[in-house]
Amino acid sequence: MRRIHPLIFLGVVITVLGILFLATSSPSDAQNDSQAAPSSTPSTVQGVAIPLRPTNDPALTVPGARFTCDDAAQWVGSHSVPLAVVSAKPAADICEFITSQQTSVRLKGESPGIPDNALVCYVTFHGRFTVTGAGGKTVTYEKAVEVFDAQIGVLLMVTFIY
Amino acid sequence: MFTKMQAFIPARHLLASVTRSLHSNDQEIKWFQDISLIVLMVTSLTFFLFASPPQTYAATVSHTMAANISCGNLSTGHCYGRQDWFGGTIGSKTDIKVVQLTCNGSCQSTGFLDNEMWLIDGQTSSCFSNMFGNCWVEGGYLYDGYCGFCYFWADVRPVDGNNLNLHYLYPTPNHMSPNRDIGHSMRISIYEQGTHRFEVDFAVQGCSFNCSANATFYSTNNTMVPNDVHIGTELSGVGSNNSNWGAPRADYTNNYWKNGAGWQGQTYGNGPGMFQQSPPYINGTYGSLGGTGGDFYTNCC
Repeated sequence: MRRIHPLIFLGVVITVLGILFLATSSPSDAQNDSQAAPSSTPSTVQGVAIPLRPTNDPALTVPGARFTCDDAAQWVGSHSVPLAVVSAKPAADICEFITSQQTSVRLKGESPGIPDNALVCYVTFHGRFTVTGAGGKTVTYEKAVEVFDAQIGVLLMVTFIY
Repeated sequence: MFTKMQAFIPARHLLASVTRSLHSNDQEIKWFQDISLIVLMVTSLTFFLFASPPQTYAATVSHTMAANISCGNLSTGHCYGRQDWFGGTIGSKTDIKVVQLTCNGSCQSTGFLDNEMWLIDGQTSSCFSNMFGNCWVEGGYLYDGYCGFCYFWADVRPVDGNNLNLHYLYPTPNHMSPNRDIGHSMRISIYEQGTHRFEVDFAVQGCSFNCSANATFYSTNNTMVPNDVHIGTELSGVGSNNSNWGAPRADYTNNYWKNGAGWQGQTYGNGPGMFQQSPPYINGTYGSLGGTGGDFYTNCC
């Protein structure tokens, strides 16, 4: 019977142990790396937004708008409300395409933050929404307004109205 | 058994074995094969001992820091790691380091995570008598299930009673995204500018390429008289952290409050100082009189 050289044996043992070590440690490390990796990537349109229609869609009757009031109403009724616990599902009451400046007038000076002449979609809706204030107290609302950019579809602001 | 014992003999015995092989013609292994094996073993040992263990250690630390989050939901029970300064002021500002917040799974479905500054009026009758008990203007960046990783600002004004206005800021149309600014500081200034108007400024610091645009917004028709400044992290939601929530260290530097004479560096002031619900965490050092407001830092979770 041929003797195995001790160095060969030692090399084989170290290699096997090393492979076993890597096999047991690598998956968890890889998992942790993937969990730690940023989950968000830069994008032009960020956040949830109303799906836009092609510009030649005959349903688009408001110049400068890329979606309709029906689209907006459906979107509001099928989504939650930012930073609020919703205990009664939101339902749209009124939808209009107006300017940013007109929005500011309706909301007592609160501006959507885009140029005054920019078109927005202004949706008033009802439901039951509870939010927390800066001091930790909560307030429950039954009415709110969401203002969308008419060309991009993103939610610019929400106003909870008491 | 013999060969196994050989495997554990001291190094000098191994060297003796190699030496014997150099002088023995009937050895099955040549000396250069032994040398090759030694090199292989040393390389393997070096790799296994010095490459792999640190990865294991890092993973262990990460799991040790993980915790279950018990911070209510979007409407109640939020947790804070923040610094509070009481006292009359007409504005405040801070440079918040932009770090990658993480909010996945139960974080998105039950809450959010943010780094921000609040300017609060809890003293005038029209404010402390509203249902929140105060009026405020706040600004910062957050990660929620709605906007994603975004800048935002919000206000509650005396003119509206209990109405709350929340504004999300986007790459389009606002040319703003914290994704672009990671590693830089975003200076957020909220101060009275004009009659009953508070200006909300976002100005990224030390970045000349591909960062967010500077932007100014206005909280108008706002008669509040601030008496409180907060900076820090707000956390909402319930669930196992398990990497659903995450906020690396974010520094808050150049902390100033404003009076009629201009901007003044924050000191310890009128307490109550730092407050944390672990998580989120806050730590730091207070500034001295005439200084730049100290250096505070938050992290989570």
